[in-house]
Amino acid sequence: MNPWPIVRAFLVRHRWAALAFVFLVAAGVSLAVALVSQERALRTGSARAADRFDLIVAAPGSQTDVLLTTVFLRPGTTKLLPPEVTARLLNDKRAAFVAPIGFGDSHRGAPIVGTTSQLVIHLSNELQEGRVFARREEAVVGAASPMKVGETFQPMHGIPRDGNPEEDTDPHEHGAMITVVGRMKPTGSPWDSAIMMPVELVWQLHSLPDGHEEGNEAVGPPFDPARTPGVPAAVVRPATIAAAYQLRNAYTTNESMAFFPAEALTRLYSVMGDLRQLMSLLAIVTQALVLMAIVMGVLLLFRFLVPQLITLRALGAPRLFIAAIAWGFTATLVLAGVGLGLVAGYGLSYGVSQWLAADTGVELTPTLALSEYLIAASILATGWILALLPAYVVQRRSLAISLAES
Amino acid sequence: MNPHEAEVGLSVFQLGVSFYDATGDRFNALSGITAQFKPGQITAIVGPSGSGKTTLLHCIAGILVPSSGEIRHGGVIVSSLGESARDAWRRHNCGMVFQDFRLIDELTVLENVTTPALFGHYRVPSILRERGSTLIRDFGLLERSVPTSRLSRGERQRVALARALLMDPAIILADEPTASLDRANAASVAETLEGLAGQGKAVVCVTHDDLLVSRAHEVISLKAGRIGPPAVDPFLGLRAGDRA
Repeated sequence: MNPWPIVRAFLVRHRWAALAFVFLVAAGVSLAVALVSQERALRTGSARAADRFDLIVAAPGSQTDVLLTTVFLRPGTTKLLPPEVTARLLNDKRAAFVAPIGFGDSHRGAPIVGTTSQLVIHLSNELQEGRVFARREEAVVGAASPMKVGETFQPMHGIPRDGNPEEDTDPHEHGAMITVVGRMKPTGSPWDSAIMMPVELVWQLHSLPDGHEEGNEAVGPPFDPARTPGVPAAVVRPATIAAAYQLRNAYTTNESMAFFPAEALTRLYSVMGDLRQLMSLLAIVTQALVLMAIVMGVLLLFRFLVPQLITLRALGAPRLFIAAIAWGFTATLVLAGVGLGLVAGYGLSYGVSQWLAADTGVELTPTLALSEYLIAASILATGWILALLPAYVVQRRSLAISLAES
Repeated sequence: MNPHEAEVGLSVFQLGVSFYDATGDRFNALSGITAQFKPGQITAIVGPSGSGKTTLLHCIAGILVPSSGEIRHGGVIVSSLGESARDAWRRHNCGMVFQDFRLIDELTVLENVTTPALFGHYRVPSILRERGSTLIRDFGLLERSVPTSRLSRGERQRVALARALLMDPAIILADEPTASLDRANAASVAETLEGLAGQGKAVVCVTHDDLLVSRAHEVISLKAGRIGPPAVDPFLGLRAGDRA
């Protein structure tokens, strides 16, 4: 017994209805797959972006706000750490290094971060090109920056919203001319688009004490406690694990807060858990819609098939043969829809990742994991079971009546 | 099967078929039909619409189980078989031909002709494939690898006839086989059926076509589900059943 030549012929005959059915199933599967895949890509991408930021110290407030401004370089207003706390932190011996972070300037929409070369090296391991800044008028760009080594630029005060300087309240160029001397390796974070330059220059451009004795043009530590201004945040690389916890405790005071970004992210994920649940619910609703579509499609397609199946029965085809055709026809369409849906779901997730990466700078790597395959497999299995419906119905029909009707 | 049964071939005895209509009233589609369909003969079943012609054909094919009476073929009481057994009996003993051909137009001529072979085999056995090719050639179909959708109506009915003959059935059951054909093609199909009867097959046709009736050895005239008086050729004045 071989129903496949007949199934193939029926698929060709009803190709447009079959294609519509396949696309319907594929659309539902792709949405469910993309939702789950994208949610995971967001979690892993954001965790990877924050991975190299061991401990962040900032003024008391929202850890999430500080996380977003420091790690994800999102524009925002943060209070400054008091200068004396900043000075104490910058010279704390329990840290391998402490990198002050200074925001507020930009160039062609790219945020400028004032920091130390230690943080640049820490984030990038080694540079992709050139060297770290050694003088105040030098900068290192992120891997995705369009600027080239050797290029010069004038930093602009303020970070334009959506890259549009006109939307900033007081845009103006600082007088300094900066030269790009190095390019970081990709970090998969918004820092890939940023411009890093000595924090001393940022302080200097904003008419603040520059962390060193007057007239001393040095960059990087040690900083002079007497001439250290407050900073929005500092990234701390603890010398040991024990030191990490000591530092967190030491700087969790009324004047400052210290937190591990991973902790804050976990808290953020737990808040976003509701969103995840919503996405899971959406995925379930999508699957339910797919299954409804399968049932409706099966019944509609079945109406097309009946006359031909009845003819085959009249020719003497066994009931099992007819059942195999009815099942094989629908099962093939469900398989094609699920397969296409998996591919399209990955494509959709990839597209959304690209769009989000372009918007946030966080590298998102969508993957198809077991959960997505399970979604596809469950829809496939249910579809194949539902495909038994026409096989069952066609056997229940009276052959004589069906012949007369057809 | 004894020699007498073999000679008699297919017979129906006191056949009755009842249906219940939409109002729940019982309605007799066939009553007291007794007839023989002998090998080597064409039997035409004629009668007005609704007289029970197709119902009788479906009973003979084992598609419809009669409410009363018996259908016998070579010692087998077809009417008492279960559905699967009737399917198998029909598969091996009957070749079905329909008014509207009922081909699978996406398949080629040869694939259509060999479709019944797929019912019992994963691949069409070479012997049946060769038989299909021979039938296609015998029926004058030049192309065997084109989809049947490209053929004329006459050619498509010949493909349907070839499909009906693939398993070399003893009985050919044709439901209005010439109704949708032009005169020339109808004559060709009638000639073919006559040739099949000549090969010893029992050919049973439901028809309104005078041409086909004129070639029949027996004519069963149905009226309101019962056998009526013998049909008379309006031009020759001869009873069709009286032909040699």
